[in-house]
Amino acid sequence: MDKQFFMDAVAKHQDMVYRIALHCYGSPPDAEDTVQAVFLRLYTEEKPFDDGEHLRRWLIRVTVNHCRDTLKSPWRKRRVSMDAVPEPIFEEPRQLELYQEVMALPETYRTVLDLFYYEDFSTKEIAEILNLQQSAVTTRLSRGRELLKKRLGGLWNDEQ
Amino acid sequence: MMSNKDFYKETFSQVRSSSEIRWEDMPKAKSDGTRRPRRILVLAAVICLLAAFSIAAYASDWFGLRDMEVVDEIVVQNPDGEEVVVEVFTGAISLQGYGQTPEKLASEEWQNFLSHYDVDGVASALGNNLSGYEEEYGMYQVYNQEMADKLDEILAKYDLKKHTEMILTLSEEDLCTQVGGDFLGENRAFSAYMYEDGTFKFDGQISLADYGLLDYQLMRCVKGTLTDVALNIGNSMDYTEWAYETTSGVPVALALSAYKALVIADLPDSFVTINVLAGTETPGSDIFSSGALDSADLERFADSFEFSLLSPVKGPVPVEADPAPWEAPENDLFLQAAGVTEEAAQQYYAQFLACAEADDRQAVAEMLHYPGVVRHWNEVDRSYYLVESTVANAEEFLAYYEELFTESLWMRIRENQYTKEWSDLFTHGGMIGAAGGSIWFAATDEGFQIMTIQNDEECSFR
Repeated sequence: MDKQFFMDAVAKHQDMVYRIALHCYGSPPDAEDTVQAVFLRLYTEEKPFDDGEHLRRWLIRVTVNHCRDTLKSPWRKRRVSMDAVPEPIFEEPRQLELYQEVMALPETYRTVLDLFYYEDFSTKEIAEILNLQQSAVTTRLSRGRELLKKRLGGLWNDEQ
Repeated sequence: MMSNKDFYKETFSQVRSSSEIRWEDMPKAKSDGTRRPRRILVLAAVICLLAAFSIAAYASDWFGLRDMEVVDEIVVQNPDGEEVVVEVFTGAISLQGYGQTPEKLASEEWQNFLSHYDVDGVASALGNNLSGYEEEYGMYQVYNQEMADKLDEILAKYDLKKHTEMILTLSEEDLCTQVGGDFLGENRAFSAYMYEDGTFKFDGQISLADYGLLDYQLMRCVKGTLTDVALNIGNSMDYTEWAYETTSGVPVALALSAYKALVIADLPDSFVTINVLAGTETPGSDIFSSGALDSADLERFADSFEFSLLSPVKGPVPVEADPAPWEAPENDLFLQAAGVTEEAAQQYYAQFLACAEADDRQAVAEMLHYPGVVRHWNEVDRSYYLVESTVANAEEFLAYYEELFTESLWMRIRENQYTKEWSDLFTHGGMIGAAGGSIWFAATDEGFQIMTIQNDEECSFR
């Protein structure tokens, strides 16, 4: 692994890895642990990447897989989630409201929302990343949107 | 007007990782292999911080939260490159007991073993495959013989038993029945689960007089068994602690910090910890509480429990003893309504669940009545509609399996299970209902067949 390539990847994608892990867990400390683990995995990766998009998708896949492994691990059970972890500081209250409502959603909806709204993937691409049927992705996306609409009211638009 | 996508991006672009990823740290993390520390600390400045928290800084007979805190060993690197091992308080407390009790020491030893073991790596290597240790060590994070040996060693060293079974989703009423009385008073219990020895945990809420709504988590660990659970509390020195006797005469320890509070009851045969999700500086807008909590509030909260009912430990009722052997009554209403005995229906439904739990999709699909109609979500021009598709046989049904067997369906199934073999079945219109009405089946000319499956996501098979 070339040092410059590695550090460029960290600079460009660290926040993305964190964001996806945060959507999976809903827990900032667990998400930070995943950031460490994913970039250690990148460090040990020997196969070259075709281009930037290849690297980005590889990182997303590794992040999702790491989160899933951790979520099903008994290790998570023993961390009764309890800390008063400080929330990020947002420029506007409505952004904090969206953040809190997204974090309050079930994990299955959160990850799909992030990949769709932030990472700009189609439902077909999300299905490939998460190894789900496309219909399952659309269901989760739809339910996540409905819940956000219910909880955020006018802050969240109807989507037709 | 801003689109949802722009709103989402604008918001989450402000959510950033604070981890420091350094190229120089990577070789060390890699070479540590399966016994690497979970976090790598190499900053010289960190040493000063760790020293401030090291065990040597505190008297060994300090009794309170610090006495419950899990101690770990961390490798740090001096500026000259030399590595030293420093013992630190982890910010997590054992929920098993104070200081030198066997349960606390065993829990600490096991958790420290795990924290220095590459658990994530072992789990990743396993993927979705079973490790073979699920049956004997299913309640612990054991994936290989080395981990099993370590757990057995700790259990033998401290003369403790291991957990063997967990009962999920106990109702509030069931929980009180299992432990021997209504210890909850005005409290509400959600998502309760219990182990085979009576150890249990639930998420709770109470409307506390002169305060408002307060959320918390309560765990009772029965002594004599190793329970692999720790609670992150941050810095234990940030808490104000005092002893208190509840109105029912049970001594408890109370601890209050800016954003969290604890109620701890060291009972003769169990140890109870309540994690209260509010503290002295909790804002009024908090989603878990009604705002700032003071010492008087915390004392009233402790008074709301009847801790004396939790000792001696009772529960759970042994699974084998329930239900009683079935005997066909002379006037079997089930038989009259559904045309079959309840025993036969129970056997069929248990067989259906066994296939579903084993994820034997083909077997499940073959138990359904065809042709049928599957109602499912579909995307058309970026909008989502419930559409109906006809399925002629098991092969066609398999494409919709995941849309039907969702978490919500499993929750309905589990909520209505008395035991593995005995469910809350009922009859209506000649059919037999299960899982609270989420699953319906009937006796047909071809034997029992599943006629309907429906979940909370509005997907269904009929």
